[in-house]
Amino acid sequence: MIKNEIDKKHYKDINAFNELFENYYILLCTIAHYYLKNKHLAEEIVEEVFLHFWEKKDDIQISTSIKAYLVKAVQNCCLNFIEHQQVEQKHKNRIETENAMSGIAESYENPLGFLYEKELTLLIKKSIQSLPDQCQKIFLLSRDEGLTYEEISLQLNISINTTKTQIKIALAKLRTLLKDYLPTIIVAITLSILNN
Amino acid sequence: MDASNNDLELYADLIIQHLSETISGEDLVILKNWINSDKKHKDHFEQTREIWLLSKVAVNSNNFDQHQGYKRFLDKIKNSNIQKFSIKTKWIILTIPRVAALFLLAFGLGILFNYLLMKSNRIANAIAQQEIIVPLGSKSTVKLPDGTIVTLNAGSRLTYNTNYDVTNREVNLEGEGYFSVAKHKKKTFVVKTGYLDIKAIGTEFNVKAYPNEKTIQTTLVEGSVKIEKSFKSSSEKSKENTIILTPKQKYTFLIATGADVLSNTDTNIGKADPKLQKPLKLEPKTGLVFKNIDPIPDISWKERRWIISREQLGQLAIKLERRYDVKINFQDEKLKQFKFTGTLQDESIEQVLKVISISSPIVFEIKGKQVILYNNDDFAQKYKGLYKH
Repeated sequence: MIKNEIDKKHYKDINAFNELFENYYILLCTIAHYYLKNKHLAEEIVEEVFLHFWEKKDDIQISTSIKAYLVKAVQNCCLNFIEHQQVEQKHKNRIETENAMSGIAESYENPLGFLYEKELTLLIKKSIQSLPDQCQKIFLLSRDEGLTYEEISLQLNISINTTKTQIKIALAKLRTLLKDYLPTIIVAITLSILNN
Repeated sequence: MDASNNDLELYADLIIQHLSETISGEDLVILKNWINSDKKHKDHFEQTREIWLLSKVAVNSNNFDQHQGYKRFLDKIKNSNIQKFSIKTKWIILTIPRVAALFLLAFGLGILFNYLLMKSNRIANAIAQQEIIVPLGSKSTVKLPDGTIVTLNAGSRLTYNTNYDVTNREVNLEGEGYFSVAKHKKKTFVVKTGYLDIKAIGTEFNVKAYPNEKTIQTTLVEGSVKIEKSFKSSSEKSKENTIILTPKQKYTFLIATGADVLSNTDTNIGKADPKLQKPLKLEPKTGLVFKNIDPIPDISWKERRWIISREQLGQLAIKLERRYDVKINFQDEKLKQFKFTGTLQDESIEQVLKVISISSPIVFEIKGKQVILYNNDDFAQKYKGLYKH
C-alpha cells in the first residue's frame, strides 16, 4: 500500500504530464493539423511543445490556463513553421489561402479551444449521434473525412443546397446542446494536479 | 424585417465556407467585416468555430493517439537530458567568477563589520548574545559579521554570540534558514540544531530544524558540509556520527517516530535510487542521505516563486501556517494524504486554498486566522474512481 504511494510519488511530475496528454493531445494535434495538413508534422510539433513545456515548466509563467498556454504555443509553432517553409520555398502567395484556424484572429476572451474539456468530447459525440440520420451522415462526411459541399453532394447524390442546410442544422443543434457550456469561463487549472 | 434573418443565413453560410476552407477572398473580407462590426457577431463566430473544432476532435478522424504521443514525448525527454547536462556544466563555469566576486565583496564587508564589532566589543567587554527572531508570516535576510548571508524562514530564531567571527563562527538555529557561508579557512562555520551540528567552510545550504517538527533536514546546494551528531547516541553505530554531503544531496534526520520521512524527500531527478522506492524504516535519532535530489523545492521558500513538489497536504499545511501566519485545522485526517505539486507566486492564502480545493475533494473555510479544511463529499463521490487509497 505505502509502497505504491511512493512509487507513484516518484513519477508524479511525469504523471501530471501523462494527464496533460490524456486531456489535450488530440485537441492540440487537431489544431496543428488545421494549419499543417499533415498528421506526422502535427504530432511532431505538439510533442515538441510538450517537451519545451516540460523543460521550462519551472520558469514559464502561465496567467491563463495550461490549456490556453499549450494551444497558443502550438499555434505559434505552426505559424512559425509555415512562415519558415514559405521563405524557404518562396511560395509567398501560399499565405493568402487563408486557413480556417488562422484566417481570422481570435479574440482574447475566446481563444481557440476555450470550450474544450475532455468530458465535452463525449457529449459532442453523443450529440452528433443524436442528429437525424441524413443530417448526421452529412455532418460526419464533412467533419470526419473533410469533404467539401460539392464532394458530399456528389457522394450522396443530393443538391449542394441540401448539404449546406444540413450542416447548418447540425451546427445549430450542437450549439443548442452545448448552450450551457458556452458562456461559462472555464476555470484555469493549475499545475497542481492531484495525484491520488 | 426578414433582412436580418437573411443576413444571418448568409453569414452562417460564409462561416461554414470559411471553416471548411472553401471561402473566396472577397467573401472572407465580407465575413471579417461582419465579425468585427459587432461583439455579438464575433462571439457567434467564435462559438461556431469552437464547435467546428470540437466536433473534429470528438470524431478524431486523423486517429491521433495520445498514448503513442506520450511515449514519443518520454523518448524526447531522455534524449534532451543528455544534451542538457553539457549546457549546465558550461553555465556553472561561467557563473563561478561572478559568485566569487560576490563572495569577495561579502568578505570585505565582513572584515569591516568585524572591525567595528571588535571595537564595540571592547567597550562592552562582555560576550552578549545576538538574537534574530522572524515572526510567522514573514521572512528575513541577515548578514552576519563575517559576511555570511542567512535567509530565515517564518517562525525561525537564530542566535549567536558577539564573539562570532572572533573566536568561532557558530550559530544556533531553530526553524529554517538558507546559509550562504562566507569563505574563511581558519574558522569553520557551524549551524547548531538540537541534535546536529552542520559544519561548513564556504558553501550554500539549507537547514530545516523547526522545534515542532520531527525531522531535521539539510540540503546542500554548493560546496560541501559535514554533519556531526551533537548528542551521545545510546546505540553507538560507529561510522554514523559524521556525514559529509556533496551538492544535490540531502540529509534527513529523524528525531522521533511519527514523521513520514519520505513524504517530501524523494525529489530525485531522473532515475531514482531504487532504494528510495521502498519505504525506509528509520530508527529515531538516525538519518539518511538522499542522493541526486533537486534542491530547488527545498530552497524556493526564500524566493518570490515558491515551488511545491510532491508534498503531502499535511506537510504543506505546516508550511502554509508559517508563511501566512494562520492555523490550519483538518476536519478529516485523511485529507492530509493528498499530494500537491505547483508553483506559488505572491498568492494570498485564499488563492492557495482555492487551487487546493479545485484540484482535490476539499472545501475550506477561513475565519480570521483559522482555516478549516473539510472533505468535499460531492466531489469525492463524483470522482471516486480517480482516487486510489
